[in-house]
Amino acid sequence: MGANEVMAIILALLIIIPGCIGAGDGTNGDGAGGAGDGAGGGELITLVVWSTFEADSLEDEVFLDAIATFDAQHPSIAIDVSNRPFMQAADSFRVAAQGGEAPDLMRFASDQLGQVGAMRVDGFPLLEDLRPHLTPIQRNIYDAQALSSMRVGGDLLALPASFDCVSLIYNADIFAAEGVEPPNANWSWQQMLEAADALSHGNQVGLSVPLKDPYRWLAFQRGFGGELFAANGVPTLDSNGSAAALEAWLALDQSNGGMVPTGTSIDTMKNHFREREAAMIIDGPWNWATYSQARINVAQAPLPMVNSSGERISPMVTYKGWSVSKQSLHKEEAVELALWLSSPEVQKQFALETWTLPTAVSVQSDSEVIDDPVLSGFLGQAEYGFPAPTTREMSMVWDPLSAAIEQVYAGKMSAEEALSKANQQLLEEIDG
Amino acid sequence: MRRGIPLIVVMALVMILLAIPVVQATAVSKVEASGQSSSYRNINLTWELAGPAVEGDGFHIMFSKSPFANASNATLHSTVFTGPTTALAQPVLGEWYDDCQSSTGDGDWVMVFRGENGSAVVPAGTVAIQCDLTGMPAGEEVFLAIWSFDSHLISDDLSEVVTATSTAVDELPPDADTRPVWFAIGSIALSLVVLLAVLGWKERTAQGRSAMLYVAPALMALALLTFYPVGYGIVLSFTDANQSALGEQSFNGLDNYVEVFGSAGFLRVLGFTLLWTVVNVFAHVGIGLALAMALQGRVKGKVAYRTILLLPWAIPSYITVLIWRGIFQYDGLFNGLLGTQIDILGLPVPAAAAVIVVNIWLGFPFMMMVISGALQTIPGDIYEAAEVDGVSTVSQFRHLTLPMLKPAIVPVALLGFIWTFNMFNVIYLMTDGGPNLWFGEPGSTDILITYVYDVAFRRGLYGVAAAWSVVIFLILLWFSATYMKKTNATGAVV
Amino acid sequence: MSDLAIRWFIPLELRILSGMSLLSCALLLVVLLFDYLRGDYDSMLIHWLGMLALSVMILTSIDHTEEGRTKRRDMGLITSGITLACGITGLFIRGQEYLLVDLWAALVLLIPGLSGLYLLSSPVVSRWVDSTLERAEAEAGLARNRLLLPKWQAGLKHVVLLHVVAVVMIPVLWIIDVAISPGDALQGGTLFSSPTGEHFSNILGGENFWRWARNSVIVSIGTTILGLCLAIPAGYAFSRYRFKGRGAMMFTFLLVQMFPGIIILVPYFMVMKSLGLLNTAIGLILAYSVTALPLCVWMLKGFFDTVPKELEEAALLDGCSQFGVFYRIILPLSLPAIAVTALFSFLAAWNEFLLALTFNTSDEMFTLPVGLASYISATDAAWGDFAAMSLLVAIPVVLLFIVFQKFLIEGLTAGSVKG
Repeated sequence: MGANEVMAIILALLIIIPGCIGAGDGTNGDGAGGAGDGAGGGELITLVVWSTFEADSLEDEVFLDAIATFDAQHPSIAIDVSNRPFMQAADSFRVAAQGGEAPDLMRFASDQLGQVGAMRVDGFPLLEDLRPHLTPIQRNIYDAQALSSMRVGGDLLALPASFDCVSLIYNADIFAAEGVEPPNANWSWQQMLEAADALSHGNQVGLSVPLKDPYRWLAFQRGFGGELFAANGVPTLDSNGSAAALEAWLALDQSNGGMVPTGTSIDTMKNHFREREAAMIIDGPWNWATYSQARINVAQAPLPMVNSSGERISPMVTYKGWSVSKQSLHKEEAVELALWLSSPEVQKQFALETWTLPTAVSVQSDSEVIDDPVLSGFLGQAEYGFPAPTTREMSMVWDPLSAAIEQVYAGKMSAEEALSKANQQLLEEIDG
Repeated sequence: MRRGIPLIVVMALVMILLAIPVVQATAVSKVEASGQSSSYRNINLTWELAGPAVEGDGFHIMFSKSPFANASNATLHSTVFTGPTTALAQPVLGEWYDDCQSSTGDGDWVMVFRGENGSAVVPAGTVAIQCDLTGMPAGEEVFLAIWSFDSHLISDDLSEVVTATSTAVDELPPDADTRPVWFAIGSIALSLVVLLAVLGWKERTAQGRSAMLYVAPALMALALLTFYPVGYGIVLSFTDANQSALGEQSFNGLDNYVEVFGSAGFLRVLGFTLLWTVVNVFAHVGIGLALAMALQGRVKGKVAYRTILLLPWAIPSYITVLIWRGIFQYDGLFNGLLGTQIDILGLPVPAAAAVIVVNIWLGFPFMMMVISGALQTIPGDIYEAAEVDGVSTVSQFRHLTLPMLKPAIVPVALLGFIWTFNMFNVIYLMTDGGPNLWFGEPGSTDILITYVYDVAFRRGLYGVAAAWSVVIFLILLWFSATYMKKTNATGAVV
Repeated sequence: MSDLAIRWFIPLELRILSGMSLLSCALLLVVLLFDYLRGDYDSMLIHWLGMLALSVMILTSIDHTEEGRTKRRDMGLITSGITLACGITGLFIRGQEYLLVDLWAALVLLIPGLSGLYLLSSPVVSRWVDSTLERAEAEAGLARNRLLLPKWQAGLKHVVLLHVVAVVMIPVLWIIDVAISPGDALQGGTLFSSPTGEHFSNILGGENFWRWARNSVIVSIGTTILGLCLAIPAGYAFSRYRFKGRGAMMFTFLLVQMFPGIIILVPYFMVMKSLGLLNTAIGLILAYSVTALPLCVWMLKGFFDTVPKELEEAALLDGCSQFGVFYRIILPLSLPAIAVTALFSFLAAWNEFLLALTFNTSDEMFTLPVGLASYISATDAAWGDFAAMSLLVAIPVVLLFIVFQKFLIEGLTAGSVKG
């Protein structure tokens, strides 16, 4: 009987294979978790690094190159790089840190730091305050705002290696074909709306933006004179101008007489632009490669000025950088590696090869960087941006703010009412 | 974003310095270093000048891990300039752990001022400077010297090289203690062995005793790995654990449960969870049963059908859920195919329907497989007999097929209920609980498990989240117990 | 005898018609839902009417009593006509811009309508209706029924199955499209325009994929084997023996699945750390086996229950040992269940993500799902590579299934019982 033979084989495997696996793994059981052998001289030190770059991407390549360079220069340091999926990276870091197995080095975004920084396990923070580790010269590599954006409650929790912000991206061909004047640095919101209207016909959308995305709305809040937090850290979602910003923002929706198709999400917006169906979008440099690959004549301009408030629409700027675990047994080496990964050399390579925006002062003023229209354009936009606050409160903003946008979008509340409710909710959550 | 400004300041400073008549740099007469300061990677360096410093004097602090006689063999730590301090800010003490103080000889130490690039600036007339140097190697001998220069930046005057060792050690958090875990696992294993031994000893038959041996490995694996975590979760629900004080939680009685039951939207999220679960399980079993029946017997292309119908289970749900999200987007395939204009994921009821549809799509192949397997154990001759007796197809199904399938379907449906109740991925990836039309409440497609995630990881309230989890646990416990009693699922064939 | 043949004979046409109408009615429910979603109330009205007509048609074709056959046949013809008319109107009401769905909705009505007109006016039906059938004709008709009815039923079955296949395949086709399209768009663009193998060669050319695949294979096979090793004896004991604490033990297997996993990730991590199982294949195998255990134990118990106790007793009387009984009788008879359980354990390990990420602080032992997730970054994702890899991940599962399929072929069980 065939079946019996199969069973016999399976039963035999049952016994053999677990044994083999067990034997095979006994040899490589240790070596992770940063807890290498003592820091005695001459011994090989292993640094565990958790990166969050997209696998096999250009960024990942540049990063691995940088690691290889460091490795070659430091024969006594072995580096164990592990690429964590971005979405779950912070969660898995928190679990590992609570289990005493945090990596020595981890890549964080500034808006994640508030929450990670607020965590205490047995009274200890999870991340090392890097201030004692840096000489003033090393500190001054980075622009002041980048450095302060990595600070939580005074502690410097990461070395800023790059930043992200959105800006106005447009398809220059569409403007040229229709004879509409392309955006410039001194545009007003009104001019932009007029151009967008002129370019909206048939399948083509003048301006495509995900209206339910709170991140992009925050730029408008600024533009209309509002702000997310007051200087003393109290949330001010309902500050002056915020309601006007939300109304103007949602008025862009087709169902409210605007030109943005109802239900536009970030993916939809990207599609519109890639399919040449959108003349303008609000997006970051990270998709630039995708758009140019689609043979679109991509161009960039700063977000416009709002006449009524005299303010510019200013995007939130978030930073990404390298943190050292509080548990690391090799902090000096870890800091050295963090410094290298965010050094001007590496930043410049990232900037020129992947349009990653630099935080090092010398790279920001580097002639090769300035000559690149994308980099200089976004660096210019960032001058009008505002840094994401690194507070625990910041990570709590999104839920109430999204709810407020949904409420107003659904027509259930006025912008003023919804934002004041959201702010109230935020205050309650911060207290409790 | 301020670029270039530090450079401008340096240049301005240099211009000022150049405007001053040439003077010889003030020499450094004495350097002292101490690594005894309390903070990690810090060395205190004090140097005295041969005379009062004049504007234009500057001091580079150089350091190296090995002795050096030439400044080019050492690393620059920072620079102290002598110059006007009027327009400059005085930093807060300890702001960057690199405080510098200067003295004009009157015994008072004054905080230095800082230029925009962080360089320290001391007033003319300074005779001594002391700096806390950050970024020093810890526990290792460091060689330090002052490299002074004059306003023309041409002098090359290196002071004596002194050494110091920063003795403060790194403050490490206590290593996560595995002893309690060992203790817990050990006692779980031990009590399980004792329990099984006692039960086995009480059994009268050899069969009963061997049953213990058969069950023991599975039960042991289960207990070792999962009892401690679940117990920990239950204990956590009675504490005030939150992210800013983990490991220091104290018991707070039933406070968390009061918060759970009193939270706005509790009934709503519970209601949707039940709807979600019941609809999904019925659809999974119903569709699975129908398809398994349809593919029973001689059907052309059966293997092809089964293989295709298996795909939703075989392809990682991570991507299929994201693809479905794309399909339901406003300009997605669904609206395109139907010619409708519904913002499905943006409206509460359509979004709820969409997540349910996707989960049905994901889950029916498994049920189909289970039931297909179960159908094989029904002897074909029963049907032949029924056929001869003229029993109609419908009653064959009701009175023959269903009862024979029951032993397989009943437990799988129960597990399906439990899994669906705790199904996190689909909703998290599709809508993340949204659209959220409430402030501080679960969104319209949140189920209990996705809300627990929010409470724990977005708001950091681990104790409350654990209480929510225990509530989920109790609901499922109650349901399973009732269900098993009703269906007699544990009954044995004896 | 002759009367019997005439009395027993019901024309095949009526059976076909009732089946077809029933299917159309079911599909019309979906059509009506679509109408509602589109807010197209005119079409909705027409489809309601069509459904009504179809319902009448079903009623007329399942009632075979001798009296009123004529009336029912005429009624059937009229309702067929109405159905047909509804189908045509439904198509025209959409104007020029009808979509694929409209065409499909029209077919749902047109096919039973046309068939009704054709089948009900066939000579056999007319003779049957008029009760003028000869005995020979009735006998020939019965023979024809026996021959053709299964074919027709199979045909209807295929129609249903093809609908299900369509629903299953739409997202799958989409994934295939993303995987073979240049660039990294998750949506948009025309289907299957300018196909490329770049994503596949990206994935297969990198060493990461092969490392992840190796880990996944080790972990999944290990889980399958360990899971079965643990579950088969336990399931057998639960099925065959009565002993103290049996119910409680069975319940315990379910218990741990009820507690939300994400909240107890940290203590779970600590357990794995204490046991020294972090970053090992064995650790994942153990964890997954435990995850799969409840289902495996319960399902196997259910299947063992269906194996007649008498077989076992007979074998025991014949001098078979307890193990011999288990090995020679229970196992072969439960092969379908073991196949399903094995497939389940395999997939539980193959597609698991969270534990594989959490229990690996180093990426040496990352499995395919974790690798897959790392193609999505903060701001963008390599959807093309992502989709290509998803398909590659699915292929071994499909192959495995095709192998296991052997155990799901009926007859195997019956044969074993007899032999």
